[in-house]
Amino acid sequence: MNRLLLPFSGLILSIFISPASLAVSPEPFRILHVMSYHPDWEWNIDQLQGFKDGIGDLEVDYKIVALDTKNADEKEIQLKVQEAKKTIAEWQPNLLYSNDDNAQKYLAQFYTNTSLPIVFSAVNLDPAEYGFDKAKNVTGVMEYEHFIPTINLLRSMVGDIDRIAIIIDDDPTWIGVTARIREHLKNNKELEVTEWILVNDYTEYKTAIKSLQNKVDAVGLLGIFNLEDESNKVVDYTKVLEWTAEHSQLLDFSFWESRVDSGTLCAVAVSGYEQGLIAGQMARKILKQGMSPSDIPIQSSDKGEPMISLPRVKDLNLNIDVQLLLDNTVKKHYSWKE
Amino acid sequence: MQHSLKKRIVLLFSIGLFSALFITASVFTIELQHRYKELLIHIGQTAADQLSYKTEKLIRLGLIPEEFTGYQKLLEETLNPKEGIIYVALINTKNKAIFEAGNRPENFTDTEQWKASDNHSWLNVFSTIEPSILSIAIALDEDVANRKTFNFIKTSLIYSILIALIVILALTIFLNIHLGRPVKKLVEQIQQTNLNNAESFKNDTLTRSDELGVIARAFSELMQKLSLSQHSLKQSNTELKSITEELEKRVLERTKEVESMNKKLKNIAHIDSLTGLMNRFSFDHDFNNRFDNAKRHERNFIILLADLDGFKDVNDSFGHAAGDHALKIIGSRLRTSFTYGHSVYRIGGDEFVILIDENIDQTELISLIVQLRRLISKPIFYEEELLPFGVSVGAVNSKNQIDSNAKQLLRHADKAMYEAKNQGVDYIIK
Repeated sequence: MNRLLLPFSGLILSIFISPASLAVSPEPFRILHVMSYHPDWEWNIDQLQGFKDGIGDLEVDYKIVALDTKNADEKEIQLKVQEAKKTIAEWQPNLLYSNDDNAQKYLAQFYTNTSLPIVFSAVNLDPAEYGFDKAKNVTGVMEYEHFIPTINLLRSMVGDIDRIAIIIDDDPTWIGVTARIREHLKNNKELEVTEWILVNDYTEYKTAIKSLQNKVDAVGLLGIFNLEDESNKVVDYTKVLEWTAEHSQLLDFSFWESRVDSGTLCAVAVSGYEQGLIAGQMARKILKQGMSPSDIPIQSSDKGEPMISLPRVKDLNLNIDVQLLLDNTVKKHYSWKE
Repeated sequence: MQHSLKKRIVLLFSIGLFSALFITASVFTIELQHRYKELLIHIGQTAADQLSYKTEKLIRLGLIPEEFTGYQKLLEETLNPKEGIIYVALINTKNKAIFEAGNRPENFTDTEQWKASDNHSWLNVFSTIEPSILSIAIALDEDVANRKTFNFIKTSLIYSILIALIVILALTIFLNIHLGRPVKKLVEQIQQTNLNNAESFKNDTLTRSDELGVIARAFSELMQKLSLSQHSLKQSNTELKSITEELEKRVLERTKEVESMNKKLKNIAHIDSLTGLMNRFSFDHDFNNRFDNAKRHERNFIILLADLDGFKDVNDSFGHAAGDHALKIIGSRLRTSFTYGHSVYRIGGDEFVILIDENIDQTELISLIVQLRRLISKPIFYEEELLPFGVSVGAVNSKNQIDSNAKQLLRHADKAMYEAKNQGVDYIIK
């Protein structure tokens, strides 16, 4: 009986030790994603989805650390930063994907010229501010606002816009943004930003908005994340925009979809998904093709999405052409009313 | 008028081509008109649906028609008279136009009638906007379909005719090159070819593989056969000519022989073989002629009948050979002595006749008779023996016997001759 079983046992053994069974499936790539804001914010969701689409079919394990800098205080932020650093040390990711300026400020800039490849997106500040310009392990996508297209959209709605006011808070993000707006103004002399207003708290913001009502044609609402009320609590930007919609008859604009959702009249919004997609494609080149990040030039996204807040249009008693509503993304409701 | 095969082919082809073109254009026109009408409705329906979609989008944004700023422009942009869209309207359930652009057709307010608008030159399409109670209505100018059909057919026909003309031209050139010229060249060559030199028929068409080549080769073979036949015929002609000449020569020879024979026969018939004088047959012929002539024209003559005296005695004494010898000598003497105007005949054994023209007088007649007597009386020797002959002559003038006939005249002469013989005189003239 044993003699009979011997040939079959050999056959069974050969099946188990076949080359296919010996092949070791490759380890998935490890990517640490550090986001500046809270993970359930659509802005972050869009970017991460774009990044994943750009990566394509690569097997990837993600770990995400959200710094939540809109809501968290400095201490909480630092705790998140430490968590991220610990992950880098222990998990040893193949790549760090960091989005928005705060993620660079708090973490990515400390890993320049290391063996960890870094891809960023939605960065407003000059990359040199973070030492990315001289780093060999960093590349990414700059978030360049569509200032002129946004002004043109506004003009198509209401006619000529000459005098503009820009409101920012003390967040360093706006340094880069304002610099680029100034650059655009040099090339478009007919446009004039008559007021550059830095507001330190919510009260100053309200005062500024009220004071601008008859002074300018439109106001750009940029820095509205760090405004504290009398009780030193940061007022959510949606609340800021709700108050603005209820108390301002000024044409207002911005560069992000979330602002239009919350009542800003219009924007040619920068696309979080678009930036994430480009960043994902860069990461794929680094991980799959073995390219050095320094060989991949830093880019910016070109496409913007024009959008209009219809309730804001109505509140401002604007008679805009229906063609504009048909051609552009229209927000039917204030987000804070839903 | 020369009927060119090439022209006939081109004419037939042209008729066929243009007939096909006409039939195709006719069928195509009907079909195209139908298609253009369908297309017109499709374009109108698409425009209505697009406008409906846009309007629905605005409705879903929460706008009411009163808030449709610039909607009029949308309608005007939808108008497209060139494509047949002549009227666009946003209508409510009461068929009232809230917005409209273009020329409003008749019966606009009656939707049912509008839909059944076959009697009009325009068509209608509708698109309902969900979930509202609004609709998009578009009026289409049906004439656009007709105009487009006409323009298309016109353009197509122009191009088709141009192409057809080019094809006909090309066919003409093709036929000219491949049929006209070769045929012309072949015909010229055929016309120049003669049977004497059939080898001179050398034409490019001989090497062609088509029907012309077959014709050329058949003609060439025919020419060669004809040439051979002609050559053979020439040889036959030459031989025939030679034979004819030979025959003619022989006929001539035979004719001469016959003539000679005839002459001989004539001589035999008219000449006395012994004396060489004209014989009795000649005498009867000449005498009757002279007598008739004398009767009709009064040209009288003298018949002089001479009979030898002593001839019977000679025959009896010396034999007939001596008599024949004597007759032969006498005949010779008479032939040589009586020549001009006198005809001498031997009409019997020893009888001789001399017919003399009237224009001699009595003296000359006597002199002539004397000369006759001397010629006969002149000694004749046979085997050294003298044969003695005399002569008795009877002479009659036809004038004197004008009422007689020829026989009677001869009988008178004969009677005179016997009277002379009986009377022992040399002659008696009556």
